[in-house]
Amino acid sequence: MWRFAWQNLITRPTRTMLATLGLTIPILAILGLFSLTNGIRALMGNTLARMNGLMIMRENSPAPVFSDLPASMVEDLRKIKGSRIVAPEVWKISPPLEGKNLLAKAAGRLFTRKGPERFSGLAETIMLEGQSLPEHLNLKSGVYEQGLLPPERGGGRFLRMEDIGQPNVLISSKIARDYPGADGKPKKVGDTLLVGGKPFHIIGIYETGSFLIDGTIVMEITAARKLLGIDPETVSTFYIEPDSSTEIGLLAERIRVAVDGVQAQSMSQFNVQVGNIMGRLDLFLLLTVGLALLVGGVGIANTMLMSAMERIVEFGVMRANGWTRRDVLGLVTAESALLGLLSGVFASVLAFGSITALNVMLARVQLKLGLTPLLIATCISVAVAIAVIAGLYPAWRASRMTPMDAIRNEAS
Amino acid sequence: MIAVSNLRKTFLSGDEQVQALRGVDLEIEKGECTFIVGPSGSGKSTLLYLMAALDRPTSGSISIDGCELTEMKEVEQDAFRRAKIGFVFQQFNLIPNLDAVGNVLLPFIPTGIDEVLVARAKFLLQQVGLGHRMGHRPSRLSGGQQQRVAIARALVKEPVVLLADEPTGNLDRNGGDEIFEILREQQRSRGLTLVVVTHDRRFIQDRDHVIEIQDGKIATSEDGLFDREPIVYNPA
Repeated sequence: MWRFAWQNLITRPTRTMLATLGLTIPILAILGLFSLTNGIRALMGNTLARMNGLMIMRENSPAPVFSDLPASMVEDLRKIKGSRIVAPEVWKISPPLEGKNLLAKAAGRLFTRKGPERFSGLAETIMLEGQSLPEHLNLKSGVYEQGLLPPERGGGRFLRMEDIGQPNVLISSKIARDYPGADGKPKKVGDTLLVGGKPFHIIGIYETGSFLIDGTIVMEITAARKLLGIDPETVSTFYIEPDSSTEIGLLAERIRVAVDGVQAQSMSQFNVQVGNIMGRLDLFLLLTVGLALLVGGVGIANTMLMSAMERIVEFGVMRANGWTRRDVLGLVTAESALLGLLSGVFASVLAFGSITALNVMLARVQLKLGLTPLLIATCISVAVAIAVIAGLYPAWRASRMTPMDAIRNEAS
Repeated sequence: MIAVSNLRKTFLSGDEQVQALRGVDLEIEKGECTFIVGPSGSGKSTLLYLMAALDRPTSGSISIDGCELTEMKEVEQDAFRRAKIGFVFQQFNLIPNLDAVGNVLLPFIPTGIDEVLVARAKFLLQQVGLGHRMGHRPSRLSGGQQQRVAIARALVKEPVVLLADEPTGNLDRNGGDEIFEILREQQRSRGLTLVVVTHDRRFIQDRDHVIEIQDGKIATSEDGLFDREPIVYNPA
């Protein structure tokens, strides 16, 4: 039966291809969009897994750069049972680096570089973090310190207490590459980086492997406040590490109860929040692509209806030769299912090729689009299901006539 | 073998009811060669289609080989057609996507095709003189060759009854003669009950059973038909 259904499809190649294409496009869109959200999820999870403390931000702030809290809050937070270290931080989007506006730099790359390099600037936002050193130097989960390149690769050193108030910075190897020196080579320890028009001395170069972290310039908090014009009585966030006997969720709950106007999130909670946002994004994408799927399904229904109506006499002949209504229904449904399968397979092959190419382009930003076997299997199943549903009415039309009416259809 | 009793069939054509058959009674013996003749629109093809259980009569009954067709459920009729009835159409009605062997095996596609069936299909195609055209699709076969494939398709089920609706209607004289030669040979060698609807009375032989239909009824000598056409009616 399946072989016969396949023969019926390939004898009308143009129609089959057009119907397949109609469903391939939305399936391809689903694969692409969900691969993107999978990639973002993986990247966020990878990034947040490196931090095992609590981030204290102003209530309802979407990100540290939008948060501001009184510096005096540090005393209240230190009193909370279970907090080992409370480390004040200031966060802002970086002012122009090396005299270049970040947006202008991204646009410049788009037109002046070739290949994957062209697009790398579009996914980059450089952050600036100012750390209060007495506290940060005692953190167990200092991602930048742990990410310092080894000495043989020119990693330099992390911030020390003598850096307080000094224009010394740590940058990532990515920033070093993106803002090379006059000789065109990546910046190195000992070089100067112009941040907001002011010279900063590079003392260390780190690399964490997460583009979200690797887009950060780290400096001491008073130097950062001075550069960014932030009031000494203001911080953006507090990073809190619990003591060894306190579970992080419990500490977050204590902070929420004890201090008004803040949100205390562990990185795992933040990860869940990101997951929820991505879930909503998935739903939105699904609704959007659902419309395209509907159109694709209507295309299949139209194709199968035309095909079925053209072959009414054939169906009558089949019935005359002992085929049951269910056999005819099965044949047309099998043809629809094969159209769906073709669409799903084409879309998967196209998605695999495109995403492999895109992943090469996005390698610099460490975002890897996640085209998983489960996603492919789901999309192929969805394509088959939509095609089968779309083919049910034509199949029913094909099977409902008596053999005599069907055969005489030719005469009428 | 075939017993038709008070068979009536009414069609709805627009708002108008058309009585295609108005109470037909007939009996056809096993292994007999029967011709159903009559003018266009007289109801002879409708009678044949009802005998093949391709539609249900408005009233009356049809019994074939002791099985009451009109009392069967639809799936039982489907199974009966698959097992016992071969049907040959005027228009050949081959499936364009299938080659000659595939067309012969059409009845068995839903139930599965094994090597025995393939061998049987090839043997039948050789018997009808198409041993050299087995892999050809209908578009590469002449009208006569297509009708031979259709006959092989009707025979592959090893039916007890072979029904043919104007089997030579789309063929030239020579092609028609060849098809009738094949039909008669198969009927003789297999002991089939053959029922043929035709306009062409030149294929009718003295020993054949002929049924003439006019206006949905079996014509009798009182209708004056026998005066015009020298046909044999119920020779037994």
